[in-house]
Amino acid sequence: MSTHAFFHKVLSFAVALLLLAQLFVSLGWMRDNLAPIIEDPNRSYDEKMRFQLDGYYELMQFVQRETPRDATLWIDSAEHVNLDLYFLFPRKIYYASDLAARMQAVDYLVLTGEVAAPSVEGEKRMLDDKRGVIRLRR
Amino acid sequence: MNVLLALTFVVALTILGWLILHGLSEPSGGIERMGLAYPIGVGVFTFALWLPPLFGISFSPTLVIVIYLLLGAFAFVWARRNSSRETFSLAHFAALDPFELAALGLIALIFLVVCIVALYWSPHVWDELAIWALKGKLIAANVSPSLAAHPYYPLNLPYQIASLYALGSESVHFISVTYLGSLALIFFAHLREWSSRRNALLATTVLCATPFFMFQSTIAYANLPFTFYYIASTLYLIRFLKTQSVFALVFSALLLGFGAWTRAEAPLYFAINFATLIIFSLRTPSAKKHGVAFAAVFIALAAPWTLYAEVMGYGGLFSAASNSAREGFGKLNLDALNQTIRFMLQRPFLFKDWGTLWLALPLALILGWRQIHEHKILLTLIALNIVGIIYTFYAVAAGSAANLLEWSLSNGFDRLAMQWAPLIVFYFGLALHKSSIMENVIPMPRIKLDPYFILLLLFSLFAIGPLLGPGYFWGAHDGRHSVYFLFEFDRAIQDGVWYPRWAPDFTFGFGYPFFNIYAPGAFYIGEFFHLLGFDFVTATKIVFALAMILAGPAMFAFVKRLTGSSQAAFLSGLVYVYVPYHIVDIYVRAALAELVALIFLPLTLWGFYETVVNPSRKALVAAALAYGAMHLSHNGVALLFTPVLIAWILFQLIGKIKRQEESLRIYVLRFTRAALVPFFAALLGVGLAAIFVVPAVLEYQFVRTDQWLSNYYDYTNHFAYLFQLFSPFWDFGISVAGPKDQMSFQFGVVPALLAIFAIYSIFKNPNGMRRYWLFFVGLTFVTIALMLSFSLPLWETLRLVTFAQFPWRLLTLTNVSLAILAGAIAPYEPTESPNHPLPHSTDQQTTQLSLPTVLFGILIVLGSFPYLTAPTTVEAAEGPVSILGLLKFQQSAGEMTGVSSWVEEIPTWSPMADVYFAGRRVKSKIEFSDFNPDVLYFGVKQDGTGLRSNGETVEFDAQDANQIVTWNIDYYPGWHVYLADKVGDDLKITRELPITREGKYARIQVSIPQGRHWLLLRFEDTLPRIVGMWISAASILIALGLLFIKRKN
Repeated sequence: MSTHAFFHKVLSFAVALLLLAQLFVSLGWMRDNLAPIIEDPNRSYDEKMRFQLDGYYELMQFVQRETPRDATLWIDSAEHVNLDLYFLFPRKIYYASDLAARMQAVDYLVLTGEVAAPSVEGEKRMLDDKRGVIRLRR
Repeated sequence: MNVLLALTFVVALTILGWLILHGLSEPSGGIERMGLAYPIGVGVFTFALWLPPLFGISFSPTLVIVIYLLLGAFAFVWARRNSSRETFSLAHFAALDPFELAALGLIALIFLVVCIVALYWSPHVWDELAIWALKGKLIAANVSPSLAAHPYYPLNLPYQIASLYALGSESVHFISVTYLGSLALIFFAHLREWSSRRNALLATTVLCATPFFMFQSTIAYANLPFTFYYIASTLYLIRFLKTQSVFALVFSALLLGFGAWTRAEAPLYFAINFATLIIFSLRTPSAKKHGVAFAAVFIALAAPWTLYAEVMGYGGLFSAASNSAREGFGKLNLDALNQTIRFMLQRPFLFKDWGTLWLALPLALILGWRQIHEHKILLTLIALNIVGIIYTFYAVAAGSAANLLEWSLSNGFDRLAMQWAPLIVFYFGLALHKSSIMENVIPMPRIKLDPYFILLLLFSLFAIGPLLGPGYFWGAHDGRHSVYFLFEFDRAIQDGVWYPRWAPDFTFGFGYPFFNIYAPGAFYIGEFFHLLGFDFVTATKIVFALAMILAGPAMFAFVKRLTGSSQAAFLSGLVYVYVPYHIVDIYVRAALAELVALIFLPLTLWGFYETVVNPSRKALVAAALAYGAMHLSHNGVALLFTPVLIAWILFQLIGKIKRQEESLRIYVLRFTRAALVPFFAALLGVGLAAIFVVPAVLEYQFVRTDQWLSNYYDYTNHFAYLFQLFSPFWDFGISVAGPKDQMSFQFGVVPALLAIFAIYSIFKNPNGMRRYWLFFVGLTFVTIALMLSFSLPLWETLRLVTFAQFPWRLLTLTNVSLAILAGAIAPYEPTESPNHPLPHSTDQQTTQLSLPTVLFGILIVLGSFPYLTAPTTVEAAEGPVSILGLLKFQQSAGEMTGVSSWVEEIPTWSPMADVYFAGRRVKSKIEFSDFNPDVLYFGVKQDGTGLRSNGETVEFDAQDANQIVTWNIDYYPGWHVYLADKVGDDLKITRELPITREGKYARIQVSIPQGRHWLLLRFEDTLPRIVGMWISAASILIALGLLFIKRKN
């Protein structure tokens, strides 16, 4: 076999390997991404969000239920600013640093469980031990 | 509705883009235009949506629709005035070789999967919620998008999301799938200019199969849209530099300008492409003019948003660019540079995200090193992009802490690299072509892909629409049955029974030999999907969908062979899918097995047509396979269709074997000889299905059928009325005595009209085909007559109820005849002799679509569209699919309560039902209340493994001889009870115990001896089952032999 023919065969093998590897990788992706859908094709929107965002979505749902749409909220952690805005819009949201300054405007405190709860008086409604909302008493 | 709105949105903007492109003389290729249509349409639409709020007009669904209608009107006028004369041609995909077909199949699979994934999830990924979806939500709510992160990020994607939100759809991910589709089309079209179709398809497959691209097409990030605009712009730039087409240059700048509305880093990519333009056109006389034109068009499109963002204080290009330049060039940070380059060099080995995409670059360089000068433009672009991405991240790091660089690299590098990665694959495609490796390595025969066939598949998708949503039509006639038949089938398969016959949980657990008398084909397919991981409901829905979709291609294949016309085949295939009774079968009756069998009716007609017209071993085996598959799918349909098949074969033979000047004896001999091939094909078909057919025929007598033939099931109450065949009435109820049936028996307005036109067409176009059409006209009229009550004497005389349970079920036959007749209106050339040896095509241009035929197709779909609905619920009233659910169904509906012929009274409850309803598991079906536990002790395995779908194994200790043991299982031939003793770890059978049938339920009863032994209850094969199995095995061998053993001359 000539050197040229040899290299030709090696390159053909490399191309075939590259294509096959791409095929297997793509099939793996398809399998992984279809698996949760196959597991339950009929999930509701809430179930899908719970599946993807885990516990934080539960808190968002809880706050949605417990607070009116025109409420002003103070959330004790600014860890999920954009999720808060996406799910709690059109409620107005303030964060940790300015509770004292905004106290008059705030209707509800949202406890995410990620930091120690502030000591304020109000009607407490809890999702679990650490997470919930406090309706401030005026 | 959610999904439908998203689809409508995408289609509407694609039409807008298509109209705009239609008014341009270039690009001329249909694939290229299709690739550009949505991104161009959406680019114009976004810009137009951005303007009204500047003048105080609020964003609203009305605004979205008004803007679209205005743009659509302008585009329509534009397209009419400047209409280019191209036709949409599928010539690119004509005559594919198997390798190309596989590549195309993989691309189709990828798009199917990404569509499913994209449509399933609403926005949920961190950045899409934080930036893009939030911006869309804010715009839709008429709130400033600056509230979202990165306010200077442009508005192309947010406006699309906002429009969908405003219109009421959450399926925003579908936008990204569309961009991937557009990218694939434009990529393929450009690569095809410089390389062979095989290489272009392979490179496109590598691109689409890259996991990172697939993932990006299932979420709402702006990177994939920008990738499209940048790559399309770059490909047009390359075209300009190679051909000096000014149009290509302007289009390149235009696309990049649209891209500036998707990602803020567009100016960097402009700089890269502008530099490439200058480098490679420097020596041309018009270099300055071209450079100015390119920059001017880009700036004209990109500047409005950039300036607006600066004015509104969102930040953006100027501030970012000046900061980056100051920081990046101000001081040299070798650590940051080193970190960035190291990160980049890891990419080729990140297979899970990138597959082998990056490895394609070194391979392409080796493959194409001799022609490297030919690809210098592309390689320059790749090199500049590599420099660009390194600089981007270096600049991020230069002015900030190192950990920010790490964060930026891990969060942003891949997305930015994706924006130019297709150039690598493009180069790989070119290098593949230049090296000729693929052409030399795999020479393959070409397979012609008919565009009408593809169109048929696409048009058929609407028919499975109701199956794509959540839930299932539990209330349909056999909706529950279909799922629970599969459930029972699976119980047997899971117990290692490869050919199930006994359904253990029928009739409250007494069991029934259901699969011994009911064809199991559909359930094997369902079981395949269940074993893949789908639950019972989804697996059943998949079989329904496949049966619906595959019916069209089956009819297409037959009519194409019969007429040689793809257009006729297309119309027939489409009518077969959409004829109302076909829709009744799926969404009203939920008759799974029958629906699967319908696939094989046209295939059987085709197969037996070949055995007469073109007799060969292949034809014989093909006909046998189709006929056998029909038997294995639904025995009722096979029985009903067999007389038609016999008539079809005789009709062919009479047409072929014309009596010449010969004696009657010679004529009969010739006739008989010609009839031998179809006869043996039918015999082989039945032989293939013998494993089911033989026991079903011989052991049918051992089940009680009176409950299915009397009272409601009296066929004399179920004749159709003539008006019902033409009435548009539709409902989901049942057939009742008299004319007020609660279900439809209509032919459908379009199939009926097409059949009428077909009759006119047949008489106006006398040719070799006329007699075939007349056969199906005759079949239609005979079937209609048999469905009406005046044919009652015939039903009684010929005992037609043996063939069809109810007269209206003959609609199965009109499904076939009406569908075939629809093809008669299509243009086709006369065939002088039907004895053509090979399929022939008489379509003048098979790669082009005829508008009238496509419009007829649309009419067929629209005619049945209102019926494509089914009342679905997520869960049945009986709860989740389980044995308990099945028992509740039996209790509430009295269904799935078949019994053997020895049973005197149909059970309405059982001891097993008591256990299941108490929430426990049945571990033995022995009737424990019958004996004294002090005298007889049973060692039932507490893990329940002693009881299986086809029997039970149990240990006993009897103090006295002749103790009686009864199982709560109906007796049926095949049940045996053996006495066994333990030898080591194995059970050794010592003798068989004679079975007696106990009581009104004919329960299995045996007398057992004294001592400690084992009882083995087994459902085994009887002589008919064994004979059937061996006939099937022999038939398979004969079929294989006919196909593969060559006869010596």
